[in-house]
Amino acid sequence: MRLPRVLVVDDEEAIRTALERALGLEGFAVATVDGGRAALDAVEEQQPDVVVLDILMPELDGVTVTKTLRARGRDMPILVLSALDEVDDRVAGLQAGADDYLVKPFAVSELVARLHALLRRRPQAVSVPLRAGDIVVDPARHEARRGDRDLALTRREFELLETFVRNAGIVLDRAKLLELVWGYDFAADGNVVDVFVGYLRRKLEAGGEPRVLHTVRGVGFVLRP
Amino acid sequence: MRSLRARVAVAAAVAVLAAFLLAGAVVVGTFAIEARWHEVEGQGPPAWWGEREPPGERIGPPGAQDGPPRFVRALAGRLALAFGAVLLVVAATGFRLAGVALRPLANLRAAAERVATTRDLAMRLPQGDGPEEVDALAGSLNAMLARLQASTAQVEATLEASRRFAAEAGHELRTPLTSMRTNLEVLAASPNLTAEEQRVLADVTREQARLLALLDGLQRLARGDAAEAVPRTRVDLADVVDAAVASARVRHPKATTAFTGPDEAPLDGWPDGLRLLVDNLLENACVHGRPGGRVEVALDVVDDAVVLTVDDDGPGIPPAERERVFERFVRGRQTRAPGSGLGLALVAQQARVHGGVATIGDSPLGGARVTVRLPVDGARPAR
Repeated sequence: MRLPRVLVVDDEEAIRTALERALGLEGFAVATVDGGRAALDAVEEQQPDVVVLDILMPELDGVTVTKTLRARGRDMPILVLSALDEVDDRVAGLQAGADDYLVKPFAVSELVARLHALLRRRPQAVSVPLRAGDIVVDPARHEARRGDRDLALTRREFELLETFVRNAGIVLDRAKLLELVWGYDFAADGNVVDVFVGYLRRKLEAGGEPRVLHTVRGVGFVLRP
Repeated sequence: MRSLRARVAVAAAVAVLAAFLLAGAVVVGTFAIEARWHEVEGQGPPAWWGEREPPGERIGPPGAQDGPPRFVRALAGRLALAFGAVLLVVAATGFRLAGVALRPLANLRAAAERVATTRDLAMRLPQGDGPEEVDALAGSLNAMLARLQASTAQVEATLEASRRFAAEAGHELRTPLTSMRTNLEVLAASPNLTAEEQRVLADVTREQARLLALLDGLQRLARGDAAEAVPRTRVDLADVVDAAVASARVRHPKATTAFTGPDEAPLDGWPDGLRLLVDNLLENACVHGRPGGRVEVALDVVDDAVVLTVDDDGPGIPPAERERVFERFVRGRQTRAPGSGLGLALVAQQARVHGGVATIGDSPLGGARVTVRLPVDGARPAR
């Protein structure tokens, strides 16, 4: 069986070496590069299955790399690494189209679990347009609209909205959403769910429409069109 | 009387009153002396004395006690009337003129108020086109503003430098600590370690985690100090608490964490800072409460404030330590649980940044109750 290929992008050599060692032991084929430009080249040459990307790098940062890759149609999962003091960068990374984030320093086991989950191919769902109230998601064309307005969602946002539309009226807790949207079947911190629900709400309500994505205290979230 | 303008008007009126009384005394006095002189000379009353009242109507004994003739009494009545009118006119004119005279002072006050409301210490009060007393006052105030501006700029530059230092130092420290942690984990996964080696490795790993917790806390405190300048947005604290509780349940699966509160608790604040506050409150309760115990979070909207309480069923915090534990690096004396001593300091800092206050009391659950009261309008902290 082919080992999953992971591309590690970080300008710090100590982190590259440590991650190469740790992920190698966990059964990944690891390639490392030291900057954004090298990362763009490496993605074209090596076609990695998943990218671990440091946000704060001199020259070309992680946000720009993510945007460029998505604009080129590269849709492999991207996990961004951020330092604690870079909350805004992390947010920018997720908005640019990254799938998840970890704050440095992180537990290797947590990184490995997330990478495996992000790599897991989920069965392609039936690709007929789905509707809930004035929201329409079209998985085949990867298009989501509210009324006449195109929502311009990133991939993760789209998958989250698709999950809510499929389960309209049903309350989904964070663990369930992590499992359905991210494929995380382990106890992960559901903060990334809150972050993405925040993005979705902003885009869903950008035209002044009423809230349809509600918080259910102590449980999770529900789409009530 | 608090109004300077009214005081000036009254002073003018009093001055006129005094002048009038003096003039009246002089006039009446001269008349009296002249009349007396005529009587002494035996010439009878002077010609201008006019007719006396008929003798039959006189009251009292004849002679010196004779009252003044009608002319004098009529004169006195008109004088009193004229005096009253003059007093009114003087008071009114004095009030108007005082307003005009005091206008430069009013302008100065308006300018000073603009400085106060805009907090723009670069503004200066108008100077050079007013009366010299007001100009002198404006000059003194401007000198004071200049000194304030200079010292504020100095404080801000120092703060900015220490913030930058904290951010850079934190980043530099985080990188080796990250690779160190990864390498320790790789080492721990090795099957060839003896029991003794494993114990040593566990000790190093624990101390490394403590270093990281300290770094996290210090960086967050430095960031929180800078947060006074962060623009406020409308934040639903109920949403923040809900997400933080969900996170705490994943981090501390053995503790039972319950949350009760209204559907919405909106306030003006800094979302990251509020999340930090709630995270640290929950972490404190989960770590220092009874292991596998109960943590109860409650949110209440009371008047113009949102009140957050976190209860645990641990040993509690003795009254003597309740203020000190909000200070940096201070930990409870009986505490054996791990911690950096920065968690409650962060809570206190964020409460203060949001114009609120954090206090510790006894929980009905038997442990500590930490209460944070935050004003809804996101008042800035008092400097």
